[in-house]
Amino acid sequence: MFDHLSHWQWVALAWLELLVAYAGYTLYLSWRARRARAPEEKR
Amino acid sequence: MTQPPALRPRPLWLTVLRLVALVGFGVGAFLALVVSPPDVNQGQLIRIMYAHVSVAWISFVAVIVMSLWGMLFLWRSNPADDARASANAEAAAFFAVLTLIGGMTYSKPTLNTFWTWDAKLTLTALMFALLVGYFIVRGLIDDPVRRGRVSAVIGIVVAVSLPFNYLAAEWFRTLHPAKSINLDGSGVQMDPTMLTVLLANVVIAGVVYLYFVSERVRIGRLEQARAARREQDAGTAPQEVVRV
Repeated sequence: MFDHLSHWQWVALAWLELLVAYAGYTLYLSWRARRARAPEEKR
Repeated sequence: MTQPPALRPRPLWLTVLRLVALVGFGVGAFLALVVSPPDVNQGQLIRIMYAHVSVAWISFVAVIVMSLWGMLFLWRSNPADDARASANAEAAAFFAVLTLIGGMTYSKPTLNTFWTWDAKLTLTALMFALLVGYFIVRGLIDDPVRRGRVSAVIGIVVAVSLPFNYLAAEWFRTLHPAKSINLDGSGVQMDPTMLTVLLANVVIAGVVYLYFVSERVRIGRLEQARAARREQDAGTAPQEVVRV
Protein backbone atom coordinates (compact mmCIF):
# COMPACT_ATOMS: atom_id res chain seq x y z
CA MET A 1 0.00 0.00 0.00
CA PHE A 2 2.78 2.44 0.88
CA ASP A 3 5.48 1.06 -1.40
CA HIS A 4 4.56 3.18 -4.41
CA LEU A 5 4.58 6.56 -2.61
CA SER A 6 7.09 9.13 -3.84
CA HIS A 7 9.39 11.03 -1.48
CA TRP A 8 7.26 14.16 -1.76
CA GLN A 9 4.13 12.15 -0.94
CA TRP A 10 5.79 10.88 2.25
CA VAL A 11 6.76 14.44 3.13
CA ALA A 12 3.19 15.65 2.53
CA LEU A 13 1.85 12.78 4.66
CA ALA A 14 4.14 13.65 7.59
CA TRP A 15 3.20 17.34 7.57
CA LEU A 16 -0.50 16.55 7.11
CA GLU A 17 -0.31 14.34 10.21
CA LEU A 18 0.98 17.32 12.17
CA LEU A 19 -1.68 19.66 10.76
CA VAL A 20 -4.54 17.22 11.48
CA ALA A 21 -3.23 16.52 15.00
CA TYR A 22 -2.90 20.23 15.88
CA ALA A 23 -6.35 21.01 14.45
CA GLY A 24 -7.86 17.99 16.19
CA TYR A 25 -6.40 18.88 19.59
CA THR A 26 -7.56 22.50 19.19
CA LEU A 27 -11.10 21.25 18.48
CA TYR A 28 -10.88 18.93 21.51
CA LEU A 29 -9.86 21.87 23.72
CA SER A 30 -12.76 23.97 22.36
CA TRP A 31 -15.17 21.13 23.14
CA ARG A 32 -13.79 20.78 26.69
CA ALA A 33 -14.10 24.55 27.22
CA ARG A 34 -17.69 24.59 25.91
CA ARG A 35 -18.58 21.65 28.15
CA ALA A 36 -17.02 23.34 31.17
CA ARG A 37 -18.95 26.56 30.55
CA ALA A 38 -22.30 25.02 29.60
CA PRO A 39 -23.90 24.76 33.09
CA GLU A 40 -22.94 28.36 33.85
CA GLU A 41 -24.54 29.72 30.70
CA LYS A 42 -27.82 27.95 31.44
CA ARG A 43 -28.24 29.88 34.68
CA MET B 1 -19.79 43.61 38.35
CA THR B 2 -16.91 41.14 38.06
CA GLN B 3 -17.70 37.94 36.22
CA PRO B 4 -16.95 34.60 37.88
CA PRO B 5 -13.88 32.87 36.37
CA ALA B 6 -15.99 30.31 34.51
CA LEU B 7 -17.76 33.02 32.51
CA ARG B 8 -14.74 35.10 31.62
CA PRO B 9 -13.86 34.97 27.92
CA ARG B 10 -10.48 33.68 26.77
CA PRO B 11 -7.83 36.26 27.75
CA LEU B 12 -6.38 38.33 24.92
CA TRP B 13 -2.84 37.01 25.41
CA LEU B 14 -4.09 33.44 24.89
CA THR B 15 -5.88 34.42 21.67
CA VAL B 16 -2.69 36.14 20.49
CA LEU B 17 -0.67 33.02 21.42
CA ARG B 18 -3.06 30.89 19.36
CA LEU B 19 -2.64 33.22 16.40
CA VAL B 20 1.17 33.15 16.76
CA ALA B 21 1.09 29.33 16.90
CA LEU B 22 -1.09 29.16 13.78
CA VAL B 23 1.09 31.56 11.79
CA GLY B 24 4.20 29.85 13.20
CA PHE B 25 3.03 26.49 11.91
CA GLY B 26 2.71 27.97 8.42
CA VAL B 27 6.17 29.55 8.65
CA GLY B 28 7.71 26.30 9.94
CA ALA B 29 6.13 24.30 7.12
CA PHE B 30 7.35 26.86 4.56
CA LEU B 31 10.89 26.70 5.92
CA ALA B 32 10.87 22.89 5.90
CA LEU B 33 9.15 22.37 2.56
CA VAL B 34 10.62 25.26 0.54
CA VAL B 35 13.68 26.84 2.17
CA SER B 36 15.54 23.71 3.35
CA PRO B 37 17.79 22.10 0.74
CA PRO B 38 17.37 18.37 0.03
CA ASP B 39 19.74 16.07 1.90
CA VAL B 40 22.63 14.43 0.07
CA ASN B 41 21.55 10.96 1.30
CA GLN B 42 17.84 11.23 2.06
CA GLY B 43 16.87 13.67 -0.67
CA GLN B 44 13.48 15.33 -0.09
CA LEU B 45 12.71 12.98 2.82
CA ILE B 46 14.83 15.20 5.09
CA ARG B 47 11.80 17.54 5.19
CA ILE B 48 10.02 14.97 7.40
CA MET B 49 12.84 15.31 9.95
CA TYR B 50 11.82 18.91 10.84
CA ALA B 51 8.30 17.78 11.76
CA HIS B 52 9.48 14.67 13.60
CA VAL B 53 12.42 16.00 15.61
CA SER B 54 10.64 19.20 16.72
CA VAL B 55 7.68 17.35 18.27
CA ALA B 56 10.02 14.73 19.79
CA TRP B 57 12.04 17.44 21.59
CA ILE B 58 8.87 19.18 22.77
CA SER B 59 7.51 15.90 24.16
CA PHE B 60 10.70 15.72 26.27
CA VAL B 61 10.21 19.32 27.42
CA ALA B 62 6.59 18.59 28.38
CA VAL B 63 7.67 15.53 30.40
CA ILE B 64 10.31 17.57 32.27
CA VAL B 65 7.84 20.39 33.04
CA MET B 66 5.20 17.84 34.10
CA SER B 67 7.62 16.18 36.53
CA LEU B 68 8.70 19.56 37.97
CA TRP B 69 5.07 20.55 38.70
CA GLY B 70 4.54 17.06 40.12
CA MET B 71 7.55 17.50 42.44
CA LEU B 72 6.16 20.86 43.55
CA PHE B 73 2.84 19.20 44.32
CA LEU B 74 4.60 16.53 46.41
CA TRP B 75 6.38 19.29 48.30
CA ARG B 76 3.55 21.77 49.01
CA SER B 77 0.30 19.92 48.01
CA ASN B 78 -1.03 22.92 46.11
CA PRO B 79 -3.84 21.67 43.81
CA ALA B 80 -2.83 24.24 41.19
CA ASP B 81 0.51 22.43 40.76
CA ASP B 82 -1.35 19.19 40.08
CA ALA B 83 -3.54 20.97 37.51
CA ARG B 84 -0.41 22.27 35.73
CA ALA B 85 1.29 18.87 35.92
CA SER B 86 -1.70 17.09 34.38
CA ALA B 87 -2.00 19.72 31.61
CA ASN B 88 1.66 19.08 30.76
CA ALA B 89 1.12 15.31 30.95
CA GLU B 90 -1.64 15.63 28.36
CA ALA B 91 0.63 17.71 26.13
CA ALA B 92 3.48 15.21 26.64
CA ALA B 93 1.21 12.32 25.60
CA PHE B 94 0.00 14.31 22.58
CA PHE B 95 3.53 15.12 21.39
CA ALA B 96 4.75 11.60 22.20
CA VAL B 97 2.11 10.00 19.99
CA LEU B 98 2.96 12.52 17.26
CA THR B 99 6.62 11.52 17.65
CA LEU B 100 5.75 7.84 17.26
CA ILE B 101 3.49 8.33 14.23
CA GLY B 102 5.87 10.85 12.62
CA GLY B 103 8.79 8.51 13.30
CA MET B 104 7.02 5.67 11.51
CA THR B 105 6.24 7.96 8.58
CA TYR B 106 9.94 8.91 8.43
CA SER B 107 11.20 5.37 8.98
CA LYS B 108 9.27 3.55 6.27
CA PRO B 109 10.71 5.38 3.23
CA THR B 110 14.22 5.78 4.71
CA LEU B 111 14.75 2.45 6.55
CA ASN B 112 12.07 0.35 4.84
CA THR B 113 10.22 -0.47 8.05
CA PHE B 114 7.56 1.29 10.10
CA TRP B 115 8.70 -0.14 13.41
CA THR B 116 11.33 -2.23 15.16
CA TRP B 117 11.54 -3.09 18.85
CA ASP B 118 14.96 -1.57 19.46
CA ALA B 119 15.88 0.45 22.55
CA LYS B 120 15.16 3.95 21.22
CA LEU B 121 11.75 3.17 19.76
CA THR B 122 10.74 0.91 22.63
CA LEU B 123 11.65 3.56 25.22
CA THR B 124 9.58 6.14 23.35
CA ALA B 125 6.62 3.73 23.21
CA LEU B 126 7.11 3.02 26.91
CA MET B 127 7.09 6.75 27.65
CA PHE B 128 3.75 7.08 25.84
CA ALA B 129 2.36 3.99 27.64
CA LEU B 130 3.37 5.46 31.02
CA LEU B 131 1.66 8.74 30.12
CA VAL B 132 -1.52 6.85 29.22
CA GLY B 133 -1.17 5.03 32.57
CA TYR B 134 -0.86 8.43 34.27
CA PHE B 135 -4.39 9.32 33.14
CA ILE B 136 -5.83 5.86 33.83
CA VAL B 137 -4.56 6.09 37.42
CA ARG B 138 -5.95 9.62 37.80
CA GLY B 139 -9.35 8.35 36.71
CA LEU B 140 -9.28 5.64 39.37
CA ILE B 141 -8.53 7.86 42.40
CA ASP B 142 -11.22 10.18 43.81
CA ASP B 143 -9.22 11.86 46.55
CA PRO B 144 -7.51 14.86 44.84
CA VAL B 145 -4.46 14.87 47.13
CA ARG B 146 -3.77 11.15 46.73
CA ARG B 147 -4.48 11.41 43.00
CA GLY B 148 -1.99 14.26 42.67
CA ARG B 149 0.69 12.43 44.63
CA VAL B 150 0.39 9.13 42.75
CA SER B 151 0.36 10.84 39.36
CA ALA B 152 3.33 13.03 40.40
CA VAL B 153 5.33 9.87 41.15
CA ILE B 154 4.37 8.40 37.75
CA GLY B 155 5.42 11.69 36.15
CA ILE B 156 8.82 11.50 37.86
CA VAL B 157 9.28 7.89 36.65
CA VAL B 158 8.59 9.05 33.08
CA ALA B 159 11.14 11.85 33.50
CA VAL B 160 13.76 9.39 34.81
CA SER B 161 13.41 7.40 31.56
CA LEU B 162 14.27 10.47 29.43
CA PRO B 163 18.11 10.32 29.66
CA PHE B 164 18.01 6.65 28.62
CA ASN B 165 15.74 7.55 25.70
CA TYR B 166 17.97 10.50 24.71
CA LEU B 167 21.16 8.42 24.76
CA ALA B 168 19.65 5.14 23.48
CA ALA B 169 20.89 5.74 19.93
CA GLU B 170 24.48 5.96 21.31
CA TRP B 171 24.32 3.20 23.90
CA PHE B 172 22.38 0.49 22.08
CA ARG B 173 22.22 -1.09 18.65
CA THR B 174 19.36 0.72 16.91
CA LEU B 175 17.99 1.67 13.50
CA HIS B 176 17.42 5.20 14.80
CA PRO B 177 20.07 7.64 13.49
CA ALA B 178 22.65 8.96 15.96
CA LYS B 179 22.29 12.55 17.15
CA SER B 180 23.46 15.32 14.82
CA ILE B 181 23.37 17.91 17.60
CA ASN B 182 25.40 16.92 20.64
CA LEU B 183 24.72 18.66 23.91
CA ASP B 184 28.09 17.50 25.29
CA GLY B 185 29.89 20.25 23.33
CA SER B 186 31.26 17.97 20.60
CA GLY B 187 29.48 20.03 17.97
CA VAL B 188 26.83 19.96 15.28
CA GLN B 189 27.08 17.77 12.20
CA MET B 190 24.45 19.51 10.09
CA ASP B 191 24.23 21.98 7.23
CA PRO B 192 23.77 25.52 8.69
CA THR B 193 20.54 26.13 6.72
CA MET B 194 19.10 22.81 7.87
CA LEU B 195 20.10 23.57 11.45
CA THR B 196 18.35 26.97 11.29
CA VAL B 197 15.19 25.40 9.84
CA LEU B 198 15.25 22.68 12.51
CA LEU B 199 15.72 25.12 15.39
CA ALA B 200 12.98 27.39 13.99
CA ASN B 201 10.61 24.42 13.87
CA VAL B 202 11.53 23.44 17.44
CA VAL B 203 10.71 26.99 18.63
CA ILE B 204 7.41 26.94 16.69
CA ALA B 205 6.46 23.54 18.16
CA GLY B 206 7.33 25.10 21.54
CA VAL B 207 4.86 27.94 20.92
CA VAL B 208 2.18 25.41 19.94
CA TYR B 209 2.93 23.47 23.15
CA LEU B 210 2.74 26.64 25.22
CA TYR B 211 -0.65 27.49 23.72
CA PHE B 212 -2.03 23.99 24.26
CA VAL B 213 -0.85 23.83 27.88
CA SER B 214 -2.08 27.35 28.72
CA GLU B 215 -5.48 26.63 27.21
CA ARG B 216 -5.66 23.25 28.96
CA VAL B 217 -4.83 24.81 32.35
CA ARG B 218 -7.52 27.47 31.78
CA ILE B 219 -10.07 24.76 30.95
CA GLY B 220 -8.98 22.79 34.02
CA ARG B 221 -9.70 25.87 36.10
CA LEU B 222 -13.18 26.18 34.55
CA GLU B 223 -13.84 22.51 35.32
CA GLN B 224 -12.62 22.86 38.92
CA ALA B 225 -14.83 25.92 39.44
CA ARG B 226 -17.81 24.04 38.01
CA ALA B 227 -17.10 21.03 40.25
CA ALA B 228 -16.86 23.32 43.30
CA ARG B 229 -20.20 24.94 42.46
CA ARG B 230 -21.78 21.52 41.95
CA GLU B 231 -20.57 20.51 45.42
CA GLN B 232 -22.11 23.68 46.86
CA ASP B 233 -25.39 23.09 45.05
CA ALA B 234 -25.47 19.55 46.41
CA GLY B 235 -25.26 21.01 49.91
CA THR B 236 -21.92 19.49 50.75
CA ALA B 237 -18.95 21.36 52.19
CA PRO B 238 -17.49 23.79 49.64
CA GLN B 239 -14.33 22.56 47.94
CA GLU B 240 -11.20 24.58 47.67
CA VAL B 241 -11.24 26.53 44.41
CA VAL B 242 -7.89 26.04 42.76
CA ARG B 243 -6.15 29.14 41.52
CA VAL B 244 -4.23 28.21 38.38
